[in-house]
Amino acid sequence: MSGEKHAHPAAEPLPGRVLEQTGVDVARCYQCGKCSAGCPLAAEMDYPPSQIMHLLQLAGEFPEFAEMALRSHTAWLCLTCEICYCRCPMELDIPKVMDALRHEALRKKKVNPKAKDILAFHRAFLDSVKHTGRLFEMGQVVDYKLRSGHFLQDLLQAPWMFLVGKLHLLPERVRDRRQLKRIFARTLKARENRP
Amino acid sequence: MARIGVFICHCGENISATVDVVKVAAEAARIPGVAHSVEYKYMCSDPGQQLVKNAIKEKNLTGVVVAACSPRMHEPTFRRACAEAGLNPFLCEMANIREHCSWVHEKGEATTQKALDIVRTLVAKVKKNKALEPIKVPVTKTALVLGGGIAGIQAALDIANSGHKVILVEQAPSIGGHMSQLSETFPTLDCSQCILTPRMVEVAQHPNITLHSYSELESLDGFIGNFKARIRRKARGLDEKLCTGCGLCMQKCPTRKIPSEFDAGLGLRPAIYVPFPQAVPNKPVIDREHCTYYRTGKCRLCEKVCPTQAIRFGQEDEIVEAEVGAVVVATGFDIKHGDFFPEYGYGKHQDVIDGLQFERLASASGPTLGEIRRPSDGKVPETVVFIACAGSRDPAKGIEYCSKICCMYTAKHAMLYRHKVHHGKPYVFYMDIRAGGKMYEEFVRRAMEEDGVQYVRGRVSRVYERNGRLVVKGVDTLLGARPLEIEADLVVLATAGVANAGAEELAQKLHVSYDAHKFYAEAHPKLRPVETNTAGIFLAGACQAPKDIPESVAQSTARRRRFILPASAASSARAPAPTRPSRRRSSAAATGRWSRPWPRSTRACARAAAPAWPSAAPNRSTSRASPTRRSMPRFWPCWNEVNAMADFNPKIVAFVCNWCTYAGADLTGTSRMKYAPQVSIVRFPCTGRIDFMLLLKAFAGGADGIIVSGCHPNDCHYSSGNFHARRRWVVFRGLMDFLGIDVRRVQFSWVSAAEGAKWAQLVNETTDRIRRLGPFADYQRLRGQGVG
Amino acid sequence: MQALRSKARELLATKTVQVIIGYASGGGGRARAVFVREAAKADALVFDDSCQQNLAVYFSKPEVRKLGKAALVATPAALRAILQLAAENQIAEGELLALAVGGDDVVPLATFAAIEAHVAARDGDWSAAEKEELQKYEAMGLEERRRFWEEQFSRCLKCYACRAACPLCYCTRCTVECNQPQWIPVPAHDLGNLEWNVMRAMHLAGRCVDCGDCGRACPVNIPLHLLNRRLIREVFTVFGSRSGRSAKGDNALSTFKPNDPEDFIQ
Repeated sequence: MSGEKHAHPAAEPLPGRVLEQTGVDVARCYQCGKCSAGCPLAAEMDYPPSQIMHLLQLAGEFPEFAEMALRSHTAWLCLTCEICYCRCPMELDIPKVMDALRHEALRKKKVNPKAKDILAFHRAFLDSVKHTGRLFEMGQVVDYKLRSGHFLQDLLQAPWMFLVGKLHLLPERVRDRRQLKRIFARTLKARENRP
Repeated sequence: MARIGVFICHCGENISATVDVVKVAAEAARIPGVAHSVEYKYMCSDPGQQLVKNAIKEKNLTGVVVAACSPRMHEPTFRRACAEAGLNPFLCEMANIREHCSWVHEKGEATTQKALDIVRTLVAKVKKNKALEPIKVPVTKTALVLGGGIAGIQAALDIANSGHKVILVEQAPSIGGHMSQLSETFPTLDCSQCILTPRMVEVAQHPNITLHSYSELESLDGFIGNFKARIRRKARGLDEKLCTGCGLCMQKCPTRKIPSEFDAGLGLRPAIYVPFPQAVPNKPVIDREHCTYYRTGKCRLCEKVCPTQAIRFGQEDEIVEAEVGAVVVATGFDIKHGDFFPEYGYGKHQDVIDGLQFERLASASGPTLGEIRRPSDGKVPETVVFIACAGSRDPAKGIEYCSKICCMYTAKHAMLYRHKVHHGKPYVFYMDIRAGGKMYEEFVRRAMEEDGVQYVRGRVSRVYERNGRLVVKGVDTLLGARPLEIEADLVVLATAGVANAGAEELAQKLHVSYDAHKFYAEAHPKLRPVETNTAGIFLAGACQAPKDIPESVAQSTARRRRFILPASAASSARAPAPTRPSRRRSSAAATGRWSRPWPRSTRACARAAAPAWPSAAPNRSTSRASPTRRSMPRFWPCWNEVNAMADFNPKIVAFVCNWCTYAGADLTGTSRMKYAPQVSIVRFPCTGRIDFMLLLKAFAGGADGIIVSGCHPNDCHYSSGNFHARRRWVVFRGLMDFLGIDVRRVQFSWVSAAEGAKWAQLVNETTDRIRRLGPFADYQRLRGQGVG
Repeated sequence: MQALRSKARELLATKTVQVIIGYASGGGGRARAVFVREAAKADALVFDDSCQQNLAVYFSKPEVRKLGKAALVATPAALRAILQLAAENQIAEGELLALAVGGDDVVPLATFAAIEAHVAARDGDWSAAEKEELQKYEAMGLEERRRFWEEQFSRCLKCYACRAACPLCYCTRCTVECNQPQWIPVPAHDLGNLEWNVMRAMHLAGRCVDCGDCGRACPVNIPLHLLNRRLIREVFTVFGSRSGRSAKGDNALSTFKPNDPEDFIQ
């Protein structure tokens, strides 16, 4: 009855980790392509979402596919708009898989070089929140420029934004910043403790 | 003196892979009363059956237990073998050690012991069985065919042509079904109506066929060979004997803008109408919902112009009663309509249509006389996109199955479009191509290679309107999931095939089982695909599952054989299901009232369409005394031996009904789902038959927990058995709780024949719960005191 | 009482009935059943607070039926028993004349309709004391209740007095008298006693008219009537039906509604 079991994609390193972290079993994807069809950024991606899913399906047997998935630009371009999840006939939470891939890529230091700016923006954002409890646009922009090196980007927009009140010179701070520090510390600790 | 023969089957490796069958055979030989115990690779084969026959003769056996697959599979096989060897067939029982043991538990000692326990149980039972004789019941040699589509028409003609009478009941004003709506059929591209209408006419003219069109089944009582059907002939609003079908009424009717059902909403019809020109019978019907007279009291123009004064406005429905011997259910299917893919815009954009609507456009008798035109502006579309799998293979939408026919009809539609619009550009977005029939693959290749249909592998995310055209946003997975946008003039969705609207209600009237999608359940998916579990009621066509025309016709012809052979006998042998009345019951029974809180279903057993249910049912001596009281003490000791040193291993007995939960548990086995091995299953004809005392006896016998499970309400094979059981359980639980017995030890449930996964989950959850509750020491302590 | 006696005399003298089933003085301040067949002996009839036995039980006995048309001195419980027996086709209209005694009044009820009306006019819920009694047991936890009933049933003698006293236990052959197989063991031991009492309670579910004779008849004072009361309440709360209110109709457990509650069913 139970013969030689074919290696199930979810049982191996990367797909197994994806399953563990997201609950998504990539074996259920039957490659219909509806996610890629609906994805607003599919045309810009190196591997549209359905291809990422197929790479994950084979990643157990073929480590190079795991590499391709981790190093893809796709996970960083994903907007988490959830059109793919909404339309998927198998109800696979693809945005969650993308998130898991981002974390894995960071952990293994295999981030796609084209994602440098996205990562810079992301970190600048989190920094702002950590220090003020709010998104302080000015601070975030400065932080982003320092990290990314795009000093002159969008500079011409700045005056107008000041005038209409979209940019402020001073940040608004929440009262209990210690709470924030604790939240960040706890989250980072939990991430470390994750297997 | 009992001399029981025990035959353990390996079933190839199906049983022997997880159960040590040699050991079971050896241990079974030591059961008192067992005179012969062997194991063999394939008991159901000829040599296997010969083993049984030889043993009966040589060892003078008084009973036989075959430990193998489910009795629902091979009980008739072995009973026949016993009969041929001179042993009364009802002295043969099957121990289900495959679906309920080897297939659902892991290989090991526990599984072997469980198999042995099951064998012990059935040995104890067979010792109490009595020899029974079938009773002869006269058979009515008429068939009732429900549904006048191609399957029903074929069934009716086959049966009628072999000399038997047929009553054909069709819900719509005309027979023909969906096939009459098609333009051409795959793979031959025959004109659908050309091959169908001659048969429709044959039905109308056949001396052996009585056609009730615009009629429905009101009720069905009785049993195989002796059904009583009541048919409601809905009021057409005219005297059919006077109507000549001249059509003047339809021409003159002032209410003309009603969406035509036959044209799938693309065409219009008047309030008095014949659905299509080749309708059989070619007599109109008044649509009371839209007719001006019925709505406002005015008009009656048709009455005035009718040359034979055939119109009868006050006509009422008529109930016709008929006695029939068998029923063929050929009620067909429907395709899913409606806006279940909001992103495709069906219902929002007029030019997004479904498959049936395309058929009507392509039909020479359709609203556009066979020209493919856009519903919105009547223009000929230059680009048509066909979207396959619109609804099927889609767990998110609740339809996980494949609708089988859409790949083929989509190819056909694309080809028809090209044949009619030579410069047109058809695209098909698909996931897979399913073309498994004769000449089917060639048909699809023809579409791709000769007719230039462009196939794109990928699904469509969205269809929206832009500048009067429809933008189809799809993807080509074969090009690295590259998004692909096509501007189309017409989009055709191949929507899922689903059960008809009234399918559930009809199934309940007929007492046939159906699955979660309301398709009717066959008796066995492989070996008995055209019968239902109710003897005398057969299935034909797409009411069972989506299928194409050749299959429907083949099934109908198979049905004929199944019906005709029994019907040829002057009488049929009914396997007995005796109710042994006791004197105490007779006082109530004699006065015609059943005052005991026991179910009426035991009477209904004989009345309802019940096939052979010989020994286990209302015959108290069998199902009651064993395996509960007598075999219980023997039942548990082996568990104690095995589990002596282990943690508490709960003992759970499951009392289940044969038609639903037992079959569901079989399905769990067939699907190879694993569950906890501590449960042992006892088979009853109906939950209504499960006496509350059995539960107490099970506890007394050492059970720590009990499962009682049967058919869902409204699905009881005997109509109302489970309703009575339900009430009894409410009262019993109240009493148990009052007496200080923990009601959590008894789990009641409804598990249908299609819910294999639910059965496994139920067993596992219950075993867990009982394990946490611990052994039922308090009750079992009572057992130890005094004579038991 | 005088009214009762004179009515009895009249009925017997005019041969309207052949026997009056009523109460007479027994020893020790108790009442016992009496079958008066001659007008002259009608003075034996009494009716006071000691008259609690449900006399309808005699009407199922063939020996009593053979005496001819009977009049029955009926307590409210007996009237309900008559209606329930009628609903179960054990008594036909006109076989029995019920004499409802209240205070000094005797109300003859010749038809089932009359009995129904009489019962309906005086129908009510349980008294506060009766409700409290049941609630007292339910307030005990499961374990305490189990111990309570175990102790009670350990005293059961299997004398079947409860069965004999019950007007609705009229089966000519009770299930315990079948010994092929012996479903419930005969000797008095804990398990068999439990099984017997459970079975009797279930067989009466939806039928018991709450006369309490079973508890009164029990020689070792097991409060059997509590089991039946608990089920009466269950049947009423869940299915809305009560026995003994109509001479027609089906019992709660021999009917059903498609939407009966099933929240405990998975």
